[in-house]
Amino acid sequence: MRGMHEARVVTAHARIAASTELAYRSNFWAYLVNTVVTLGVSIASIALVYRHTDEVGGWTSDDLLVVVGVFFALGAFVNGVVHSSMAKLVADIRTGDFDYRLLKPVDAQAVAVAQAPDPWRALDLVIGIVVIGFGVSRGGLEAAAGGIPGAIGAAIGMFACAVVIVAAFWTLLASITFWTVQGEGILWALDDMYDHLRWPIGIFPGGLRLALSTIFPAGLAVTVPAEALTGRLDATSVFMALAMATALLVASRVVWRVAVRRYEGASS
Amino acid sequence: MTTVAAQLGHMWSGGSAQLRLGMIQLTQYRASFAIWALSSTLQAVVAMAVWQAVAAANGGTTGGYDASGFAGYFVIALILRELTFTGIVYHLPNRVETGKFAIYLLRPLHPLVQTYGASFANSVQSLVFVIPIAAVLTIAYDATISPSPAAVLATIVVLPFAILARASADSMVAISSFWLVRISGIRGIYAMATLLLGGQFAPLAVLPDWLATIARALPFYWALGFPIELLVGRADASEAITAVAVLAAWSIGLLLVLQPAWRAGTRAYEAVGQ
Repeated sequence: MRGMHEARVVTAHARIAASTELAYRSNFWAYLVNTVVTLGVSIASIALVYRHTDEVGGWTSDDLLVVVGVFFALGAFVNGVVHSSMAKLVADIRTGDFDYRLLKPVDAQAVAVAQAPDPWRALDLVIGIVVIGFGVSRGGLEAAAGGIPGAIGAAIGMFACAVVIVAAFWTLLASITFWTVQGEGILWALDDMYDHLRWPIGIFPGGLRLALSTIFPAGLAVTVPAEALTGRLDATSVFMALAMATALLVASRVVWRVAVRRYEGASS
Repeated sequence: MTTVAAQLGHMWSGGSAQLRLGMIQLTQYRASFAIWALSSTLQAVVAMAVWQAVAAANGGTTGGYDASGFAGYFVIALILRELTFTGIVYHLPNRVETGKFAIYLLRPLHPLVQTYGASFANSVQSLVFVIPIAAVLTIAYDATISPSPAAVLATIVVLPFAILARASADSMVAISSFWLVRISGIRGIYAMATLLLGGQFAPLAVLPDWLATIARALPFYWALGFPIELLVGRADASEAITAVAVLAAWSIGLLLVLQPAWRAGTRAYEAVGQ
């Protein structure tokens, strides 16, 4: 079973990286303060907006809390798994250490995506789930098709699509490093872009909505699980999420193969 | 007096050399540069779209802005934010954390001047991307931008003070890393102030009164929100006197604290890292 082998190797890499990071206990407090401030900004923005109206594009303030929760939970993967692992990939390409990665009898792309998780970011996942729970309990889920279990099932499915979308999209852009050698800047800029996506794309005008579903699909990724949890998930959203996840997975695979073939190694 | 002039001249030539160096370095990384410009654009466009949706839900206007009004506000916000932005709250702490700051101390030019030279190069280069984007957004969202000649003049007068105040405040935040090493929390609170009180996420007119009063006492609104309002024709040019007074007072105050804080900070700094 090739997939099993891959999964075991990736898990081993992830465990080593995680235990290294866990040695720096004081980092926990830095992350905690950061997460609390980010949550504060989100809640203050929502409060500011809903001073003027009860609904924005059909979304109530409780629904918006669900979006913020998804933003945090997905952000835990974006920052805590994909970014930190890609940062290592980018550094390895620059130093030439990527040579050794290619020599190992395991799929290099699978390892690259999840090789260096930052365990402190699990905090964002916990906070995200708490905020989602708070928003959902205030908003009520009865309206959702299939009741509460149906909504939660759909949300988990959509969240899985969202993780695939961001992981594949980030890999796609990090692959550019094979050509430019310098790639850290792109990763930080992507994080910064993700940081602005705390609103459901449904409230945006058509052009922006389309751009945040295709050119920068993280907007779609944050929105679809929140749609499932607020009883407004429709066939179009499900189709878009599945189509983007599949397309990005294939595209990132193809670009990765071309890039690796082109990679010449830079080690001494 | 002559020594002060000589010192300033030295800083000017050193800073502008750093600016030229920054320009050359940045042209090498055009791809990541374009993405940074896109990120600033995304932030402005998302805020615009949110407030346009609020205005639509409110029957057309909120805080006196209609859809075109919000578009104008955030298009100008995009350009002015780029102009007043310094990356120092990220760059200096990063160098302190990795230990690379020691190299900057060895060079015969104040590390802050070195950083500002590079940072200004950053601003200029990103305007190359941001101004065409702003032009497209102006047309696409039918943005209202109608400053009077007096308002344009007032903006030109206020902007240097805005840049100075932002740079001094940014420096104060950045040098706290000499003692704390990791300042992501402080930086987050500071970013929150520029977003919510500075007018980057919302114009002053939509804030509750108590928050607007606080915003008027702090430099953030005068450094960004006010010049935006001048250019969209919302603020009165005569208020520029207040803006300059507030910004100059904050700059002088911050620079007076900055001097001893810098001395104490560099003494507290223990080059961690390589």
